Amino acid sequence: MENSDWHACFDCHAARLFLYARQWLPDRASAEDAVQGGFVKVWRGCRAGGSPDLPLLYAAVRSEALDLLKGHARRRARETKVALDGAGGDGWWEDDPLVSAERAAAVRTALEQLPIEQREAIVLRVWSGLSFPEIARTLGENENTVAARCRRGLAALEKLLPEGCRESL
Amino acid sequence: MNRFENDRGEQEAEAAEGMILDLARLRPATPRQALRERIVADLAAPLSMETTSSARSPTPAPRSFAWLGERMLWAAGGAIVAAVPLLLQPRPLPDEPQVMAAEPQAIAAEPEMIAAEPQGDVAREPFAEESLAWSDDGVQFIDGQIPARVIRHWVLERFPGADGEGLVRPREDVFVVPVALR
Repeated sequence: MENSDWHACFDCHAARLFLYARQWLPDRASAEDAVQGGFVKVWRGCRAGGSPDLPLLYAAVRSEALDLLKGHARRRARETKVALDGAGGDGWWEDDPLVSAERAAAVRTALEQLPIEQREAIVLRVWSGLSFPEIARTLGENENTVAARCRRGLAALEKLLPEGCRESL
Repeated sequence: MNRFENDRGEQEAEAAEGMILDLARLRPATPRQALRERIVADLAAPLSMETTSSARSPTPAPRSFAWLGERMLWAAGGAIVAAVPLLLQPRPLPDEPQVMAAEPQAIAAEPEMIAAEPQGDVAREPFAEESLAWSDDGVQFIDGQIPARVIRHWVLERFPGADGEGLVRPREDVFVVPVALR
């Protein structure tokens, strides 16, 4: 596979993978490490031909993020400081003149209050654009299970969002 | 499922899709450019030499021999723990002793005088010895504690006499061979 192929794949999925990794990891650097590890691992595996399987790519990043999270517990004090430092500026969303920073922060805050199972299902559905079968393969769960998680998560998210943010983002 | 429930399910699905579209207007942030460069480096490196670079602050590498020292300490501790009961345990005395030392330790016993002592003018060194008999007395405990095998050997010594005829004197050698009982 040509070198340019992975660049195209990276351009298309890096931001989505990065947001997905951030659901576990509180700082940018760790999330980038997870994306790097997962991306390299999957891309090495698919060098023989073809583009990487998206659920496999997301599952690899998830695995890397969970591994980093284990080491994270040992560095809790330092990471907490990093997380607090990054709470303002953030790295979750791209700056967009059409969406106010206040609303973007409100969505992040609401997402962070959801259980991780619902949150990752929503992130994969909304921002990664995966179908329910693809999400089910990524998480190794039943398709109905992830659909239910997504539905319950969206309902909870709607309640958690401030009044002004519900009408239009 | 009745018609009312079907309608309700469809409404929920539509509301969820509308919310998904609204949320999707937020675009995920792009990771830093350095991430791409790190992936380029990782993919360019041979698989066996891959050293994944990291954006996090590097943790100090462990000392190269720290792990060895720790394992040596554990091994030494284990050996000491194993040796202590063996050292404290009293040695049992089995019924059948085994001879371990092959080199006999000769203790010259006082010879029994069965012939006349050589005279003062007789040479003190015998010019000939004649082996008479051997006797194995088996294992005995010297002072009631030290096990040893006692072997006796009778020898007839011949001394040149002043008158030219010569003298004979018997001698008994007692070999006490320490043995280890197991």
